[in-house]
Amino acid sequence: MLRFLARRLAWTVLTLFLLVTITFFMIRLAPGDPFSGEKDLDPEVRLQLNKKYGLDGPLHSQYLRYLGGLLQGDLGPSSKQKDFTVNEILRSRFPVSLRLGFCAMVLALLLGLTAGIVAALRHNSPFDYASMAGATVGLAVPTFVVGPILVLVFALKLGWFNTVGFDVFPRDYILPSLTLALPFAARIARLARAGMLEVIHQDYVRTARAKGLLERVVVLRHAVRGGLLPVVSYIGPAMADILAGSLVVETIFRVPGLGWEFVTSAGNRDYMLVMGTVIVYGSMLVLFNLLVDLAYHLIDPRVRVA
Amino acid sequence: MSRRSRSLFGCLAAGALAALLIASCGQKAGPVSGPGATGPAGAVGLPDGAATPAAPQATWPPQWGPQPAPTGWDKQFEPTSQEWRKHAQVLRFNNGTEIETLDPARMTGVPEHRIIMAVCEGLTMYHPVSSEPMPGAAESWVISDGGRTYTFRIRADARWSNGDTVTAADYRYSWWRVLAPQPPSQYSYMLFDIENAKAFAEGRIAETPLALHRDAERTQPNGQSLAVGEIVEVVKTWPDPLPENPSDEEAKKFSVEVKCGEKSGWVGKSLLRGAWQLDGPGFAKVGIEAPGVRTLVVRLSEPKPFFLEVLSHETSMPVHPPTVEKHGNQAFRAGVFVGNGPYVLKSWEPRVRMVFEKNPAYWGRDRVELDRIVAHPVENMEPAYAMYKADEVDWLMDVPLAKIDEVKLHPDYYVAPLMGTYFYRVNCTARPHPDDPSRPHPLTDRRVRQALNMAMDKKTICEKVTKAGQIPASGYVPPGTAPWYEPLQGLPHDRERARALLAEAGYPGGKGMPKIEILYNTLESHKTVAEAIADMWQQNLGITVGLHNAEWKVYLDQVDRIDYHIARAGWIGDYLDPNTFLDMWVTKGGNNNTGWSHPEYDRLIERVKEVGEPTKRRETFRTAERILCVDELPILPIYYYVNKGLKKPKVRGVHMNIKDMHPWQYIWIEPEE
Repeated sequence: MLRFLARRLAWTVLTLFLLVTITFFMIRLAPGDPFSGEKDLDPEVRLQLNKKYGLDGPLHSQYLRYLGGLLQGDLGPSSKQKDFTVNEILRSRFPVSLRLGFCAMVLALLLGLTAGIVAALRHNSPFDYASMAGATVGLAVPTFVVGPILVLVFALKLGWFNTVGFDVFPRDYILPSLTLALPFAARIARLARAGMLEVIHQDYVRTARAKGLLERVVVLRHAVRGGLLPVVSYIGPAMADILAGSLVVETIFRVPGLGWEFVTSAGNRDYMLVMGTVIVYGSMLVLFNLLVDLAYHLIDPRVRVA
Repeated sequence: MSRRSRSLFGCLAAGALAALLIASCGQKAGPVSGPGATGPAGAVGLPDGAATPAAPQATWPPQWGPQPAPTGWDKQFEPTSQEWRKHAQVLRFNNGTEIETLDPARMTGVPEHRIIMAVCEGLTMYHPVSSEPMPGAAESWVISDGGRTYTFRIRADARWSNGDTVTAADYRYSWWRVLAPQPPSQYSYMLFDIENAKAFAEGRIAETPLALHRDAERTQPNGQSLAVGEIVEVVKTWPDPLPENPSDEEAKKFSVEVKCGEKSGWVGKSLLRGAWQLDGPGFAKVGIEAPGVRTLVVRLSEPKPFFLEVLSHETSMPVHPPTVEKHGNQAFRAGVFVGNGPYVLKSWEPRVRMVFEKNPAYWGRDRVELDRIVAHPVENMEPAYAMYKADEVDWLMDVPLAKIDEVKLHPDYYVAPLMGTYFYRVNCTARPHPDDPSRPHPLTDRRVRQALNMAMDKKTICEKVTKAGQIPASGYVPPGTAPWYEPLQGLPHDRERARALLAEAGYPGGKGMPKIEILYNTLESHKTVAEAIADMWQQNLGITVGLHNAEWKVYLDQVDRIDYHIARAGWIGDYLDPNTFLDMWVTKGGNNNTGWSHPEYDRLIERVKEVGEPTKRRETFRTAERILCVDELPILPIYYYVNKGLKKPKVRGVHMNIKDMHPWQYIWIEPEE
């Protein structure tokens, strides 16, 4: 187990190092620079700007300087949000994305598991058909359609929520979390249903039923444990997807999270902030995958990695 | 004003450098005009009837000689009753984006300006109706020396938000900060009219005495020196000739051979840059002096009619020196920031909101009516519009263009002229025809450009495509830029003449014309305009037109390298003078980017700097604009911008003006009965 962990960690570090290196040089290939604008920039001022925002000198020495800073946890200054460093920006935005992502995940699990399990237990019933049809729709309709519809109905027509903003829990969290959660809830519902259907006809569940256990006990203690393995393995990538995919939701509901910074920093050629967000997202992806592997390791003894 | 040389060495060419070095080394500081100094008081008059009646305080162009001491407030902009006091004085508006910085020296955009106007005050401020400069932190000023010297009297009760007195030295410090290399200030050129300011910013005021070196390549500041003394003559440069577009590395190796007394040797660029200290010999040569606590004397290198307006610009706004010295980059945050404006920054949550409250230390606090201002940074206009409909903001300064038909019907919709022009650049660089190398490229032929311009139905574009009330443009300087300058009536929409001109140029019915591409940055509104124009050119001239969209930074890069056929562009003026639009088209001007060069045009723009007499000034500008928009057309004007938005009727005291600048202290909340 320890050896497995050590090896995975080594891979993680190497992956992140490659990610940093490739990203660092790739973003410099894009035409334009952080300070170009509709007005011409004096070369002397550009020189000073480059100096101020750590972009002076040849590229390889910039790279080494960046790596040096990175090792000390310094991600450099932002060339677009000039009063803040990348560290400060990440520190203020990432918890917001995490909160939104967490709420969305909880909501997705709540909706998805309920719908999936009930649909499996009432196999081929109207509820089964309805919830699976709903899941298909939830998967197919993009968030930039769902979001504005929710705003239109619940904020503008019914006046239950603010149209945008992310201040007060739970009022301001409901619409964005719901918008973000729906496609994931749909995936979870389908996975849960399929997993449950497979397990429910297996011998050990039949044995449990034959023992005369209450249906509730059979389902919760025996069927669910085995039936939800596919869902568990999905949670890791889903969490990463939710975090990285929250951009649209962050735009619609004006959530001051990291997804927005991720995309706008690339458009602004805010090189240091691009690096910072890539590092955070990269670490998250790697971390969640690692956790899923570990969870698998613990839940299912068949999955043993040498 | 913003005409800058593209090459670092363009402005450092040996000859000019020599002259400068000698001038700056031998020069003594000129006599300081004290607060009582009065110059020739010959008032420069306006052409009859040119003054705006709506702005009784307008001093435009500024009168030479002593100014009356206006209060800075005008009764006509105050509430007529006490009714407003019954309502919460809170204004919520959408600023459209997160501001880049709260540091006036580093700001560049309009959203930043709206914010800084609340927390800082320049010597002058924008008039709420005319946008012309009126007294801000300075209560009065005297213009002397034929318009070259300005002596400002700062208000006795001007205070920083922490209670400190606002002094002339604070302004001197703030402008030094703009001109010094760090922090880098993209708009430092706004202050380049001040004597020696440009030379100081570019490091061309040499430090004296200078260390002289034997080798061109060893001119490090602490290297061995041959002699120390004043520079007499620049002998040659190294490398010679200087590279046209040097890399940063090459720039570091730049040296100049100079004579210093009997000896000659080399001076490195790092030394030429001289000392940048606030109290160093370099800055002492810049025409900014603070002889008294409340007296600031500014000397210009030549008279500039729009200098007072420059002082309302964000770049000229002061920072609190002790705070900036102590906190550096951290000085521009809520809780730390110290300003001298009508409001203080209460909180700043990036991407969420900024909250401002009335500044109890502000000299005009009794006249500030709004207690609180909330600025939202919503970039996407769709959610911003939803916020407006849900009564979460009171004022939207832009509207979603996709919904313009719906928004226009909203009773709160407003539209007003803005000092800006939407146009297309044409690549005029001399180059061969792509299919027939023996002929020049058709776009280099002015008849082709005239034809393209006349084949555009700009009225239809404004009415059917942009639809927000934009004004079709046949000239380049927008109406209202200066009260004494009428908009030019350029070439009309005339299909027949356009076809005839194209035939005359050798492309009858578009035959022989290569495919022409319109470059624009990816945005729906640019796309629809480009589609309409492409269609008009195809229909009216029979030429093939393609569309080419590029991401913002890629588009900027292509325009900068003049790598396009036709490129979409927009320009918003910096100050109320045609110069802000016309001086950019001089040969190799930093913002020209068309490859167009016209000696007569250059001469006119050069001459206008010396012309003080208003009628002559107007005529010179008019001749230049005629060359630009009737004869030559390196640009195809399309429409004049408008500012458009939604504003609740309860928001009072907002006057639409062409700079779209609305000083916060004139605004109050009072619902209609």
